[in-house]
Amino acid sequence: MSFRTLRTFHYRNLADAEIELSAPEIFFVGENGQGKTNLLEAIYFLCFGASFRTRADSLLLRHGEREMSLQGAYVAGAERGEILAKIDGAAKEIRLNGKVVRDRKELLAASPCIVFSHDDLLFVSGSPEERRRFLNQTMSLHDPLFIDLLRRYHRLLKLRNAALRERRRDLVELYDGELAESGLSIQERRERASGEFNEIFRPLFRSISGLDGELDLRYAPSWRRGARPEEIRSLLGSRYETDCELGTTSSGPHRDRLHFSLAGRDFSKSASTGQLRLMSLILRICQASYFSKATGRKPLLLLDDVLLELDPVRRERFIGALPASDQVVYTFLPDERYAAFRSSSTIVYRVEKGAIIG
Amino acid sequence: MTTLDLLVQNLSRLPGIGRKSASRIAYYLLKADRSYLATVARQIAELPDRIRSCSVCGNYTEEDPCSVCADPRRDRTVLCVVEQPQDVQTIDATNEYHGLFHVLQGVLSPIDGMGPEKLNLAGLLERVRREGVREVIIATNPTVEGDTTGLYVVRLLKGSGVAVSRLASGLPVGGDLEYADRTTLARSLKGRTPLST
Repeated sequence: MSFRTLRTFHYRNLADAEIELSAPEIFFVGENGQGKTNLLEAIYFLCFGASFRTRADSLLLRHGEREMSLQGAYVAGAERGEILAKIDGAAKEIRLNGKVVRDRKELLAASPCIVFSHDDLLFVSGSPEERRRFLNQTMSLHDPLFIDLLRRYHRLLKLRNAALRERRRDLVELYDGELAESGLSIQERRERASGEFNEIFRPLFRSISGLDGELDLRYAPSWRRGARPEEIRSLLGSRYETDCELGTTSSGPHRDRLHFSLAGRDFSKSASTGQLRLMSLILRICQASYFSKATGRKPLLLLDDVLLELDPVRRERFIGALPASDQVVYTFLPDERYAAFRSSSTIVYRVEKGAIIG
Repeated sequence: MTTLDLLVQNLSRLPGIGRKSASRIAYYLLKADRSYLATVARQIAELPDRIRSCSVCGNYTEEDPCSVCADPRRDRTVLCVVEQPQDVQTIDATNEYHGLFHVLQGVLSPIDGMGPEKLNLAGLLERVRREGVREVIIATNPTVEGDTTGLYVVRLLKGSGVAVSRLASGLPVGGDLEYADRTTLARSLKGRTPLST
């Protein structure tokens, strides 16, 4: 899908404006702190009803304002539509073609986008939770059932942990059975998805990085592979005392891990910053390809200052490896050689002090 | 704070009523005639005195036992277990169910301090034991809390000899497949019913 226009009102530091976006590539060029990333964030917000930079929606309001709104007209295949997002005080409302969106996952069906940002580094070098987030995100993009499964699992986990803290063995056992069942479903799906993902990731990493050896994304589930629900139930039962003392459930998909292994060794520990950066970018490319493969749809790509950190050779290879998309939006610093990447249809905007100046 | 502000504040505590609606209601009441105001005020004030829980099923009632429990035409061997008194009316309005009800007064949720002792479970066991119940239908909501509460009831009734079933969940009647959300479809696939050939 692609956006035709974006309208912003009282949004961050951006001047209220309607911006024309009818082109396969959009470049936002400007110094740091002028509002380039805010523009990407606005598009992302329309796609997912949330920001990729903060969970606090109040930060999206211009300083001193109580309300803000974003509006985007999009095209997806033969369909034309409009997304409207409003924040008024603490209330958030998103409308898709005039209808109020009750669950953000409804938006996924209309408007997937994939953002390449600096924080993606956490997917490869961050905590296990950050890495799981990548896998969850990749799977949720095309599978709303996985979102439901995750929500159910986390709700059960919360209830079980509350029961543990009160040492209610009868309730804990009740949740064990349900937790085992939905947890194993998550594990099974993650196992399958990470295998399929690897098929895309391995060759792509080799061709872009030029490194010898295979880099593997390895999924290490907390529970035994192929375990039956009864086995997990008795495992949870056997850890009842420990879990009570910890006040939390010590095993399950919320403890799964992801490793990047090169010739059997954990690559995240030995990789240089540049290599980690490259890995995170390639993960995003694969996420987009994986989405396209699973759905037959092309995502919208948002690239936030990512080319800056790559050497010229890898930059070329990276651009060459970007998956087919309906639209790509880049941010650049003024002294970057962005002209090399533009085509005749590219729209280039200069961004200064929150305004588009041409 | 003026009397009107206080009224708006109190009205906006009602479920489904935001500040704007509360203020619309308050201005409407300001214009309404005195006898209407007196009647509504009296009805609200009398609620806790007139309406209580049925000592048998837990439904709201003015007479104890409630009209459902007292109805001699009902099948006394079937019990439908629901979360809230409102659910009794909802299910009864279908005219498809002719048994009795049992209101749990909530669902298990240790996060909100709702343990089994806060639910009307002892009453349920007692009724199953004493009143010759043969079938219990669990009609809690299809949420994580509703599902696990249902399972808890199943465990509780194990060995009691009654048949236990759960309301089916899935496609809405008259709805098109293409409009059903995927969760609902997945759940209906899981709970599909066999057709004889």
